[in-house]
Amino acid sequence: MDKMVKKRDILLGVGIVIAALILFLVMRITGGSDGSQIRITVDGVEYGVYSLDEDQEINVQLEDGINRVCIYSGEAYMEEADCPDGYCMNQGKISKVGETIVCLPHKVVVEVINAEVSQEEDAVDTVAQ
Amino acid sequence: MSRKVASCGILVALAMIFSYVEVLIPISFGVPGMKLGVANLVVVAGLYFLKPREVLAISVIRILLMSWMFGNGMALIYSLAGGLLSFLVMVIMKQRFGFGIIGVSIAGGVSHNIGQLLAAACVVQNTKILYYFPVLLIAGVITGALIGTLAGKIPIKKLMVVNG
Repeated sequence: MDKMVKKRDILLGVGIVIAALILFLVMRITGGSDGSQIRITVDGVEYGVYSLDEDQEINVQLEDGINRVCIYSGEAYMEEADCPDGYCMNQGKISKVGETIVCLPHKVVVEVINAEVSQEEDAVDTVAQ
Repeated sequence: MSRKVASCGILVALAMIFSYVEVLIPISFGVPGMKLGVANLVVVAGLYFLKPREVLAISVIRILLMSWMFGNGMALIYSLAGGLLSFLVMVIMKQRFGFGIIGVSIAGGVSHNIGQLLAAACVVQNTKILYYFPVLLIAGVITGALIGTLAGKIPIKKLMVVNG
């Protein structure tokens, strides 16, 4: 009879958790700075870039619905969306570079960017394509 | 043969009931589409008393039927990506590397989440979604360990006798 829990099973689980924690720390360190703008993309196409410095409401009009992104005191959040699952409204407020709000049903991605850095990134992406 | 088809059908039904319970009582982890994946119990246990292709059939049929009844086209893509990747990884872990049922299940849970996340990244055409990667890795280990422990409690030897 095999033993129920093998040593390598535990090693595997612990190994993955440690890897995830390291990854999390790396992402935290590299992406920890405050962003200046948010970029909204719909199905991979840029919808618009908005400053985090001014409070505003952005209505993202889609063929099959709407997502209302709100910017208030330097933080962006999904205020309202008529997507079927509504997960995007539960994803909280974002303000740090690299943080995202994703609405999968509508393929809407809101991400925090840094004004100067974003242009460099775009250039790199263009070359990579 | 007909006996095999019948037992696979019963297992598909069982997996669908597990999925349905999760539709009724969703345990949200605050990450899109993430859940415990109780239906994987059938897949994990199945690897120990059925042929891999039978387990694959059960898994794919369950996903197709569940998306048809409760989901949409998008949900189908995520589920299939996760289901197929985790099936492949679990078979390899079990047969090539000799992991126990908990290790196999952990690998399955983690790879299921990775598959879904990659599919989501392709759908929204944005790699920033990989921000969820560490959370999903840890979640996969936890759910995988739970499912593996449960699957290990199933008297697989008795099922093999019934299954012939």
